[in-house]
Amino acid sequence: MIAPGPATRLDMGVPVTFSCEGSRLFGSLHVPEGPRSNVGIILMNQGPIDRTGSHRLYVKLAARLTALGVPVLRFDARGVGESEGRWAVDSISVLEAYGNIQRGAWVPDATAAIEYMRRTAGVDRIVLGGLCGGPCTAIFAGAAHPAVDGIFVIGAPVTFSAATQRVSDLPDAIIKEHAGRYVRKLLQPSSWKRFFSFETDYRTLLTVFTSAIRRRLGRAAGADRTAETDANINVPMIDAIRTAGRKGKRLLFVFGGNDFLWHEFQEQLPRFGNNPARLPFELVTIPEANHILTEESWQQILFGSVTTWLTRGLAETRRRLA
Amino acid sequence: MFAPTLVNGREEAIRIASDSGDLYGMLHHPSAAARGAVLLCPADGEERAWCLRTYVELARTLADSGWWVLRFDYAGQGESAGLYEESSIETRVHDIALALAALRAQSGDPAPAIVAARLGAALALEAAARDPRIVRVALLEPVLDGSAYARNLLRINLTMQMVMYEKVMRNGEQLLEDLAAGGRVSANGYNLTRQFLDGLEALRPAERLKAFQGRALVIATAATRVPESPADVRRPAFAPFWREPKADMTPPKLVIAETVSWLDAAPTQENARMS
Repeated sequence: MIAPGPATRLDMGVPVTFSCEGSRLFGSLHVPEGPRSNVGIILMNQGPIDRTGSHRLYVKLAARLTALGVPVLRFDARGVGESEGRWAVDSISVLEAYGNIQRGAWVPDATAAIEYMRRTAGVDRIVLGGLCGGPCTAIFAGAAHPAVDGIFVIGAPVTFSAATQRVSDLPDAIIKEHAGRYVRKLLQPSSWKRFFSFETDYRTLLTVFTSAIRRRLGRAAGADRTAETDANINVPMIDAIRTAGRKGKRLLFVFGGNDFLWHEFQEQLPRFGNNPARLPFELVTIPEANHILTEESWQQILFGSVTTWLTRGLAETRRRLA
Repeated sequence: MFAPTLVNGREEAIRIASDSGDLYGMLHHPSAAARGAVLLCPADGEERAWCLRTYVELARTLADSGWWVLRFDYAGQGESAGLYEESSIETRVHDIALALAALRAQSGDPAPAIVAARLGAALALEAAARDPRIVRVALLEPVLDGSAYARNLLRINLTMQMVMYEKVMRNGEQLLEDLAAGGRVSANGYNLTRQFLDGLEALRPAERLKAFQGRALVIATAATRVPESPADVRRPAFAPFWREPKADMTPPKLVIAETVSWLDAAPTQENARMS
């Protein structure tokens, strides 16, 4: 039996715990007042940030979704926030951790959350969602689990984080954009002042231009970068997206227009087929927004996109059950 | 890929009643003979999130050493009710008082120690100036200049503008005008208000530290200037756990070990009441 959350302006949910492979996970379950959907939503950790998300985005999102009559679970996976468990090494860099998350390290945690939600929140069907690293967990777990009907992801990374730390490995779209920015700065006196006062990041500038030139020459010579870039691309996750689409699961992808992950993702769109109108997911971009959507206006667009997508999905589910 | 953590003591989520909505707390029961109680005051905004894992590990280590420990979130942050933009320095100091009262009631210790990082440390010193029963504080990379901290929050917004628009659309003065007109300015998604920034400007944590009559531990990096005071100042090497980690993201073992050993070594009469 789940008690309704406290009546505050921003419902914080009820603290809950459940187990994953011997570790106790802590979460917050938001239970709607009044009629409740048989669909529940689970938000996946974005990375080493706890279940509230960057600037409490998950709390604000949960409040919007719960208002639709949908129970929402936010939880901390192993090694993050309040939950037990730790990475099984003495030290781990944030890049290694992100890399592991991008390869599905938290899928067992997601599966435990799905089972917990179905067991205790009175729901049969599940929608998974999340920001940044959360999409990787949501896509791998959601593509495989039969109870998952839909997945919505915000700022999903398709390139492994370790690769995006090396300028020379950045995708073409980002190299082009950075090179363009540097060219525009040639006309700004303040940029020259920085250049001559040693404030410029010379190494990055040099790497951006040499990468841009090398790639242009490589393309002119007909060189194929596919094998080289594939090692940096999360191909298993792209496969899982396609699998989820084939299984009829509803998918929503949201990106900030200024998020470099959006540029990376655009570059991989051909992997989903040649017809942009037949992508296996709905795609929403929020103009000018950054990766974690720090402005309220950007957050409002996100909330609107997710609630519209979800409402349509709930209606389809009801029609199917009828 | 993951190893289980051995958590010996009971961990209990509690709600602390407040006018602005319930505060979230996590009470760690001692798993050894009780020594006393420790309140962990969180850092603020984005820094709260990056510090959380360190706080959790510190709380579990202290509980294993026999301490009652209460972690909590200020109103409008973390798992507590309310909105960030409706909170102020005063509400945060009030929240510390409420959390202390809850911890006293649960543990029976009338004078819990406080451990706090970053802005939490400045707030703890402010709370201590108002409550003579606070006689032990451990401050981790404390914010000792409220004005500089406020300026840095505005700088975060300016940096975000540069990244997003390649130029500053609203400069520092214009942002202050926006705030004066009742607007909000985002710093990493946390909405700053004039009330909060004015409260930061009015804080005097360095002076509070100098005037503090109890025992104080300060663990700080070389970059943090600590004023002359009776505080025990230590500078072990540690990564900035209050920011997004660039390298190792495991909680700083040295900081945790030094904090726990400092608390454990407190004069026995301070702890005798709990045995």
